[in-house]
Amino acid sequence: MGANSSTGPAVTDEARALIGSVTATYRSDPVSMRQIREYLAATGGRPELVGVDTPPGEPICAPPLFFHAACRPVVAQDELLSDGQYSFLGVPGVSGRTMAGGSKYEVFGRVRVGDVLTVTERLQRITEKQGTKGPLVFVTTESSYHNQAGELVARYEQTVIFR
Amino acid sequence: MSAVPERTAVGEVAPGDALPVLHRTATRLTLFLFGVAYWTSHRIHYDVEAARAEGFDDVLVTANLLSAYNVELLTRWTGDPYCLLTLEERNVAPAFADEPLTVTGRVLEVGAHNGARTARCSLLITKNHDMAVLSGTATVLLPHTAS
Repeated sequence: MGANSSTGPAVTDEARALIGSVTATYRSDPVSMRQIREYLAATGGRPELVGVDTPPGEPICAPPLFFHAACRPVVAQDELLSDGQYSFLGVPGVSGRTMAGGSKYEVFGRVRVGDVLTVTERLQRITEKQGTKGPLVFVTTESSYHNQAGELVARYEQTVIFR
Repeated sequence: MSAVPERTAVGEVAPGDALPVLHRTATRLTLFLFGVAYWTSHRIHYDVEAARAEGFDDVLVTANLLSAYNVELLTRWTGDPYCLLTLEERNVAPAFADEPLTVTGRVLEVGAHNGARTARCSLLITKNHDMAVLSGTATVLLPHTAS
């Protein structure tokens, strides 16, 4: 998402040229028990029960969709846009106010405490439509998540709507 | 989602079966907690003035929190916290803080994946009785006892 997020959506030729290419990579910090407890507390679960069913010596695993939370970059306040969003959400060259359009998760393996995940994001498509309240731009990215052993643990396709 | 989902015996599974309904209400406190855990600073999820300036009635429930509710529906049904294989969702309308949400699912078909039984389910989250917020599908592993 570009710096100008208060006006209508805009797409540059530069953005269209990125379709099919890698637009972002990120390496997580090691997954911690604390992160998993926070995720469970936020989603209505019992954080104090994390790991209680895990046999001694076995790794403690995170909930299925936790991989996505683990790979959200932590950025400084002055790097956020006025609406609080990451400046790099979506793809460079597409701007506008954002909201979620849809998602697809594929889970291939478990994320364990101590894992370090690497996410690679590719721009799949940019679709421009005319909505009832004005123009809309749909930006779809697909991200692959690998652990430190190189194993693919998840894929996540996300569509962000720029208004 | 509980760290240890309730163990529910799925038993026989057939297309058309309804999953046990889940009711959830994401309060502003919930959205704050999820904003921390998921690390989202998007104002429309916690700043009501910013949400209204963008044309919404109140702060919006984070889409990925709705995804977690769908996962809770599925894992409570199967009794397996790691049953999820795929989850595909389309956000149809915004859900706002403090709106009671009803999370439902229905079995579409029973299949197999790497020798294990699976179920593909339709999913629907509604508010105000029958207003769709999110629709989708998911594929989950079924427990060995379900045959």
